[in-house]
Amino acid sequence: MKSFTGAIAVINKALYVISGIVLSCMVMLTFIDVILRNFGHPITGSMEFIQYGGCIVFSFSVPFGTMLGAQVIVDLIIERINPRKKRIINIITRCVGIMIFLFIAYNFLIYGIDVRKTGERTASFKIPYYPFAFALSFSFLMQSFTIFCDLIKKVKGADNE
Amino acid sequence: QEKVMKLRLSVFWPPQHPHTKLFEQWGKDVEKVTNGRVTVTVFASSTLSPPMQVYDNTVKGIVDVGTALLAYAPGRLPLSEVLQLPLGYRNGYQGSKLANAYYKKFKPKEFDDVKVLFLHGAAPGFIFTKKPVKSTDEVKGLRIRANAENAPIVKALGASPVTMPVTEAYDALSRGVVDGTLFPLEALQGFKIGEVVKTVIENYGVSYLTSQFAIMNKAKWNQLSPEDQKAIEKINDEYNDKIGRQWDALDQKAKEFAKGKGVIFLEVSKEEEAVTVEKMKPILDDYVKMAKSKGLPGDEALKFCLDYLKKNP
Amino acid sequence: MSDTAIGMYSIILLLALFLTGLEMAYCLILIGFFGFTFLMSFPAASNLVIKDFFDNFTTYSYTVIPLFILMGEFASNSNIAKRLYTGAHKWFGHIPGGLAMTTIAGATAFKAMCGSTLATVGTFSNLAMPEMDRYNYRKEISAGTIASVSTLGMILPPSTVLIIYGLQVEQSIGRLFIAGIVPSLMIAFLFMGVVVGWVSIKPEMAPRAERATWKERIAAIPEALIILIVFAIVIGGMITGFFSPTEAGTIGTVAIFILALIRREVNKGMLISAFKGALKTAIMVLMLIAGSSIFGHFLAITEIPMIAAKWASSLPIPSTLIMIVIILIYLIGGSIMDDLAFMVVATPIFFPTAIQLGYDPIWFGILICVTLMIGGLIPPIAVYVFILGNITGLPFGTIYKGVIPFLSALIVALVILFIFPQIALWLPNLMMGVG
Ligand code: NA
Ligand code: NA
Repeated sequence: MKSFTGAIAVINKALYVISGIVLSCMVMLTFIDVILRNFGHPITGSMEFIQYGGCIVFSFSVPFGTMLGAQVIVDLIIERINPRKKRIINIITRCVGIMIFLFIAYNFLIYGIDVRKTGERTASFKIPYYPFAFALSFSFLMQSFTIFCDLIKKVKGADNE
Repeated sequence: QEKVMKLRLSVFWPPQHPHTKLFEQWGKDVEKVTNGRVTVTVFASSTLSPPMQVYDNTVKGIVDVGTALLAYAPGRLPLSEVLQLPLGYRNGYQGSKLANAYYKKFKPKEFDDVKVLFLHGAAPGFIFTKKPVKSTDEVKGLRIRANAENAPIVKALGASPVTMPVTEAYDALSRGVVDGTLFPLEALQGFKIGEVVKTVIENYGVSYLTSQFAIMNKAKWNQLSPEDQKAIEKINDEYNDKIGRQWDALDQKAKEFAKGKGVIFLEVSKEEEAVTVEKMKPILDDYVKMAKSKGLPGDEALKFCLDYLKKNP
Repeated sequence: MSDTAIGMYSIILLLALFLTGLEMAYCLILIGFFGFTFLMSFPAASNLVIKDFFDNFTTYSYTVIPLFILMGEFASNSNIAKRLYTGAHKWFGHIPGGLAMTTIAGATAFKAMCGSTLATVGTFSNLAMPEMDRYNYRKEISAGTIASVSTLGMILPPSTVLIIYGLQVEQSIGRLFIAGIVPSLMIAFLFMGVVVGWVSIKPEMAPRAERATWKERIAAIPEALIILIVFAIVIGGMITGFFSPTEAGTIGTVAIFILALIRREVNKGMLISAFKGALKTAIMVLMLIAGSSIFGHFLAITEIPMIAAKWASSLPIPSTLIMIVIILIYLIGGSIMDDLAFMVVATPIFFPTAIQLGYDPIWFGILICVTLMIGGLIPPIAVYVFILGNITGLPFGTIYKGVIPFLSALIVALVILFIFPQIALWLPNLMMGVG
């Protein structure tokens, strides 16, 4: 089990690094575009790079973001009940989370296969949509694994403060 | 009692917009001709579906009826891209009638996953500039905002296309991030662009159609009885005509609005227009090549459209 | 059960679900999905969820969120922010609440260049919070200042909310921008008033420092000047059209990066920590946006927004009361869903009523923006408070103790604006003529 949790963490971190690299490429591209445009030579379609670069940045930072605690929780009540009940509620909500993202990952897979067939692609550079759909599917699959790791921790009672 | 089919219709125009009202009227007429078996609720301002997703969301049944730009389903409707080429459209009525006639003639397979109610669109599309200009030549070297699908038109004129969301066009023009824009006349008022530009170059050589679809979820359509289908088909033809006229009326209003803001409408000579038409040729050739590579009759579609425009000025 | 009733129950269910500690974004997805399944169909709902994710994740304007947050992260990780606050402390530290006021001025200026209120709260939670901690400001006052001042961006140009309002109701966007200036300055001053009042009642909230010597103060100027130059580049570049508001975040990031490079403050640790923080905050915001649009699309088909609006417009009461009802609806709507989403849904319906009652369209736009600012701060869905809480790790109780005084200032501003429409209309009428 430990090696499973470890592997998830490594993959999530790798996705997060990719998303950071894409973000820095977006910074550079925009900077160069602004300079060139003011000399009369804009990079045509730079918006599309930023737009779909953003898609990679956002989707690849989902699972590691969750590990870093990027999901907003209303803890008004949950922090005030007794640890035993809190643990049970936590286990239930983790299971719900896993189901949600497995379901989303599956539907993105279907969507990816579908847009591959319909041939939808970006307007400027004609990049097909389907790799983005598959990337999203993979990220959300990792997201559900990440929540699963959290569940294991909760079941073991690691955070029984 | 018969079961009532409730249709949810998505438009991106705001609720007061005449086109929104027109689609509401369409809904009422549908209810009337089907004796109340079908009701329609219109959701304005993209509250039901983001504009870029309308086509696919109609296929998937998130939306029952939807209207949006053909360009918002990029790559999915290759043969119909002929409609957005710079064919020299005179007005939105002509464009809307042509779009519909084209659909009826070719029945392109690419639309097979939906029921097409009718096609329509805004025209003429022209270049508007922030600084006053005296001829189309002066566009050379300028940074012109354009949608991705129209970027080749800008390039062919020797200008640099800049793509950005339509909602940013106003701010970008007012601050000078770009020197001009390619837009249908209607945008002068619809997006308030008339407030921030000085010249509209009325060069029909670049005039393209912002082509749009009005489509329905296929499963929902197939659930209708043949009589109801027939009755709806009949009013669709009327509405294709009505929306075409309304595009025209909006253009006239937008023109008045812009003139009120001091915008100059620059008429260009026949020679200048002819030069521009020549410059647009490679764009038409590229389309035919692209269609051919997909095994589609692009040359026939193009010829049909050009002939139609000649015959119906 | 009618569609509307289903909608009402779902809202209650959503609020209950929040309390279980299930992540807010997940709650929104879940209720939106089941509601849509119930009213439309299972396949439609399954597709709705992924289509909304896809659409939001590929929306160009949302890319400003990570880019602006990255700029803030660079500023705080390269000690630039720290030195700026040190300088501000030398100059204003002896004034009660001086740093809180610096934050108000700073965030107002920052928003003027960045265009995103969510980016502002993300940036200042990272940047200003630790600095105010350093000078022993109580958490309540620093958190309250940051959360409240971040909402100001809604009426401060270039405001996305105002652009969309202008397009929706066909009003001049330029006029709306200008109309937002005086009210936003008024609110900034009211906020400063809150700081002064609060600190004079409870001096322990913001400890006063020894008055720094003039020598120390002058020594702090070059530091501040460099930052001011970066600020000037970003704002100046935007006003002159060198780049667009969406690109300003990138330009600011590059400028601060170059500055840090010159000072040899760029290292691996600083880069990693900046990117790590920026991505974390960005994905937090995006997940919430995606969740709200799924829930929002479900709420749209229940037709609740339309029905509420029609009901208010048909009430047989004086126009001022109708207007107050409309504002209350915006307040409730803004407090339970995303501000922009609610405005888009509700404005088309209330706008005609407001106009029929003889109110000015520009003024109405500014008024509902101030209402939505309040909505963004009050529970159950108080995005600004949630983001701040998540970044700083502060409990909501503490943040709310800080937010309430500023919230009352916002309500005062709303009342003033309601009674004196000229506050919004004077400047645009002066600059663009009476329209
Ligand atoms: Na709220
Ligand atoms: Na809100």
